[in-house]
Amino acid sequence: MGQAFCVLAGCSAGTVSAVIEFYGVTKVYPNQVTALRDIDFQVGRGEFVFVVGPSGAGKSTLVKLIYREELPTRGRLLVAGRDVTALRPGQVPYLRRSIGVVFQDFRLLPNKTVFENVAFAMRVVEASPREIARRVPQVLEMVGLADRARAYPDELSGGEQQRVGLARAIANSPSVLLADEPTGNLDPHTGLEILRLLLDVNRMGTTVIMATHARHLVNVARRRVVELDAGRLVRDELRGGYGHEA
Amino acid sequence: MKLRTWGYLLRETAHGIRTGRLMALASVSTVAVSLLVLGLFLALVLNLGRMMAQVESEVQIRAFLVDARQAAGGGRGGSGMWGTPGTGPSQAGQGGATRPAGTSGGQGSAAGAAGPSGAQEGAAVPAAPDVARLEEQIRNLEGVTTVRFVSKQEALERMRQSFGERAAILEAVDDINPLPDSFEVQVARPEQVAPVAEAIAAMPGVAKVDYKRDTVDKLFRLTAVLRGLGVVVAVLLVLGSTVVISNAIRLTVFARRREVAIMKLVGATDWFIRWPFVLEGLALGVGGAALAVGALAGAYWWAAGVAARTLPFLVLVEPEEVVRLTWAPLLGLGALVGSLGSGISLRRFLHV
Ligand SMILES: Nc1ncnc2c1ncn2[C@@H]1O[C@H](COP(=O)(O)OP(=O)(O)OP(=O)(O)O)[C@@H](O)[C@H]1O
Ligand SMILES: [Mg+2]
Repeated sequence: MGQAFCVLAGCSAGTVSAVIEFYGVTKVYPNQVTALRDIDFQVGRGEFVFVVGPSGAGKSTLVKLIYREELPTRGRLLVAGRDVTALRPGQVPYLRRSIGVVFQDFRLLPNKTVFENVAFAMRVVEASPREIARRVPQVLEMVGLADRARAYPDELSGGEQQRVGLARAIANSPSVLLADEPTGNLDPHTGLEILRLLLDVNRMGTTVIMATHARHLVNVARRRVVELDAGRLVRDELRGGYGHEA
Repeated sequence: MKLRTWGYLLRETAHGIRTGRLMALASVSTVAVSLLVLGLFLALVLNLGRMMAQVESEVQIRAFLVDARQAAGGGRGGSGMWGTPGTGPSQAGQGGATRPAGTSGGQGSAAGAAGPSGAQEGAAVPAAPDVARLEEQIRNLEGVTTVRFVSKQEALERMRQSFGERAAILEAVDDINPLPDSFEVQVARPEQVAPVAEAIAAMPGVAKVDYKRDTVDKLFRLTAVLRGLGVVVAVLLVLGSTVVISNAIRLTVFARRREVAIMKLVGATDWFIRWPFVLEGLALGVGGAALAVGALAGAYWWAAGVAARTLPFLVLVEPEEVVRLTWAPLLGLGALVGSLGSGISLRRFLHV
């Protein structure tokens, strides 16, 4: 929708159409913990954004708000131009089809093969068998696991499992990819592999938001960094490092 | 949803039943036993209904006459009793036997004034003239179609025939035949039975009038009790089945929580996620109901066979009829129990 708008209105090179927009968003959990306070920031289509900050700063909460696992307590949050707080319950699945999510703990189905794990995500959104047969090998190829399609998750290394998780997240061609500490369970070298894949995905046009503690990855990538501290947005740098003190 | 989606959902349902096969087995058998009990109640009520209809359709009245021998034994006093309408044969007999001859003479003359012919001829040949007169009176009643006199000898002969091989025990009573004379009266329509019976009962010389209303009333009360009991039992069994099915579904939901989480994450619709569980509940409920219908058919067929051999005069509802009338309600109830059970579990444990 945003792209169409830009084609018609002729957006200048500097202004990218926003795909995620936080306007004064506050999140208070039922236990009265305020996880996010008055957050304002926008992410343009095709951007790559790191979300950093100490433990408990609100990174995971921010990610959950975007795929509507949680609802903002106050403020407006638009994803692809749609106000997530105004979505009817029946519309939520369709919002989520435009968003892929990767977790620290991979969340694979242990009784399904690599191929089936990826195919599962397509099948449950009613993709055709033909589409599945075409797309699954394609994304497995992308993450370098074409030859492990028949393996079960417990036969894979952590890095390989996360690559399956990534393949599954992008199988339905979402316009936004969210990654909540995708390298948290991996050694630095394997983490770097995952980052490279995320950058590949981003290069192909997908907006990527990655919450992370991995200082070296942020410093290597030199991308936009949004820093949270105790629920407040304290830094938003276009080509940032992990932290000022580093 | 697309056709292939249904194929997928059905496969998932089958998979869910296989993974939780023990609970599935427990649910199916609970539903089957519950609905079988319910089905047997239904069969019983159907048969009672059939009996009542049959009894009600019999428009025959039997009017027993005061026993001539006992009346004659009591002398004029006994004949005098004929003037008192509505007294039973036992009363008449007692009256004739216990009252001293002297006192009963006065009563007899008083009654003789009311019915002179009865009193006079009762002294000579007690039964014969009354029969003709009564028959005439009865025939003139509104609605009566046929009147047939059954002598006490004929009544005993009938009893002998109905006893068949065991008729020998009747030889003892051969010469003191205790059965009274009677009339068999047919009326045109069932609703005429009661007024005609009352009118006959009021006639002098008639000791007792019998028709099937009492039986119908008793059957009706029994049916009402059974229906009430059936409803209570049905409610309890349905509740029990629902709980067991909801338990089975809860376990499947639990076994599938990872899949469900991922389905939600990648944007499966709520109903896509729910259907396999709902279908599983339905399958367990309907499967149990199908078993119940089968078992009911078998059990009833067997019981009807036994009854036909031992109680040949009972006309039971045919097994085919019982199955034809009960399969749909039982399967419907199974489906209801199944969807209710999964609905409860989905509300509580599947937050889509
Ligand atoms: N479901 C919840 N209910 C109540 N409080 C929560 C919930 N989730 C998070 N919180 C609280 O909200 C705050 C922010 O949590 P959040 O998980 O967003 O932090 P985080 O930045 O992701 O931390 P970490 O780096 O350790 O993952 C914390 O104080 C946390 O205890
Ligand atoms: Mg977190």
